[in-house]
Amino acid sequence: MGILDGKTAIVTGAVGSIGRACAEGLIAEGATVVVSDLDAAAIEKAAEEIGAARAIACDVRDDAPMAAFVEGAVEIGGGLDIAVANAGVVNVAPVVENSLEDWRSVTSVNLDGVFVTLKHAALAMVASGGGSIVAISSITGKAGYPFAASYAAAKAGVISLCRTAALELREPGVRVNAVCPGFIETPMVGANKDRFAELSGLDLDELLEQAQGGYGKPADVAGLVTFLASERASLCSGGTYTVDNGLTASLL
Amino acid sequence: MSLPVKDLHGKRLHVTGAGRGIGEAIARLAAERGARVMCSDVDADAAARVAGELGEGAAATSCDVSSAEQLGAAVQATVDALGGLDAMVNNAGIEITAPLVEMEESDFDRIMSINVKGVFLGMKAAVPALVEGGGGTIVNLASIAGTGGVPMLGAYCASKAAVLRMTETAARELREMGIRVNAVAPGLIGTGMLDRLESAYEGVLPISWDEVIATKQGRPATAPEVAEAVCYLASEDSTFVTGATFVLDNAMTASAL
Repeated sequence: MGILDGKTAIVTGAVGSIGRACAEGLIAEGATVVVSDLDAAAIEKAAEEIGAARAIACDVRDDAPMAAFVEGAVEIGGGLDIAVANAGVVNVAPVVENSLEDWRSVTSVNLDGVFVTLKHAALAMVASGGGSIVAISSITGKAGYPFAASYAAAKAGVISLCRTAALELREPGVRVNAVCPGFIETPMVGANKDRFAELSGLDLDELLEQAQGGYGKPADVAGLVTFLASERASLCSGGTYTVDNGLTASLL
Repeated sequence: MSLPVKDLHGKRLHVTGAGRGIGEAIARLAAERGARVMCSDVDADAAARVAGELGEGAAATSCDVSSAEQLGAAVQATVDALGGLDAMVNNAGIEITAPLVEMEESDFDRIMSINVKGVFLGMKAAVPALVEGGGGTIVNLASIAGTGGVPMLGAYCASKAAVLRMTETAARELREMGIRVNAVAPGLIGTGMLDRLESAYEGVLPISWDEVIATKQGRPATAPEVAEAVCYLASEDSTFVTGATFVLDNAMTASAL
């Protein structure tokens, strides 16, 4: 008996550790989960490992592959109840050194990709009587973060997109929320630590030990996503839900 | 966190203001999800009635949250009756409606003594008992009125904003002790308070109260829906969530209109 028995869900970017944990969380609660990622071979392997119903390679930046991904999930589940818009990338660089191409390489995935996911998922949910969309934003969507302007701006855009979509989709019964994780132990954060230290002179590990009490785990994010995906969160819509161990609760 | 969800199995909760409304709904859902619940309320009979209906494992005590002495005794009663404390839900609160500058000073003080001081004293009383058990959770009931102004509810708004700031501060101060502190901010929830507001706003608002709820919040909302978020935050399913405010308003405050 899970709290998501009988539900059908999609998760984008499910090769990454947060996306994968979200898929695992939904599966553990009984949902039928269809996962996607840009990397076709990797998503096949991940789907098999975690027990996802199906893997469909998908570039979140484009309508056609997203439409096919959502259609694939609807085929398996007979409708769509849950969508986790998770796929994201980061580019660590001073804002003035970003080329327009650099900027767009991040915003096209982190903001455009969430829009495309939300749009197609919402259409399918409206057709099947409602649902819950959870977009992975970030605490950098609520506060500045040096050397990740494109990332932070896109994540702020996600929060705003969720607010407006929540209002428009309230009547047909689709809830839309943004989750704002703090610093989670993932390969993406790990890979950019050195570059951040080089630019800022700060050791992220040390900084976070004090400010966040260490790194969070992908499963921490998955717990919140699972709650928001479920009917237990019936009053949550248009909201921003933070999972950062109190990092942004304090001004110091 | 390890999935699937753990809910509140084996947890010991104290809920203030559990005699009616949202507090009662929290006590009921927590019990349903496996917790043993101490129902406290300034109305001892109401607390006893709710606890009586929750069956074995539940208990009741009288408590005026504006009194440090009474809150201390109520938490001790929880430890005595349930063997410890894992989660403290500071729910008790009141509202008094009046245009802010016309409000009686004594009414302003009364709101602050229950809504602000009551939450402060509730956290203060609970922490030693939570530490004794190796950590735990605190959930404070704020309101969307703590995130923006509301005509006729100025003092209430101020009190709920205070709850949010105390929640954030306590979250950081208590993190090292393994205590997570979060707030919920409900919208327009179908309780006695909402009925009283309907009367207070009669002739003040250009549209009916039902229309206000329908246009702003999309639909009426119920106390058990709020209880769901409180139980999630009180449980171990919300790991790494502390200092957060969970808005529960069906997108009401997401709108610019």
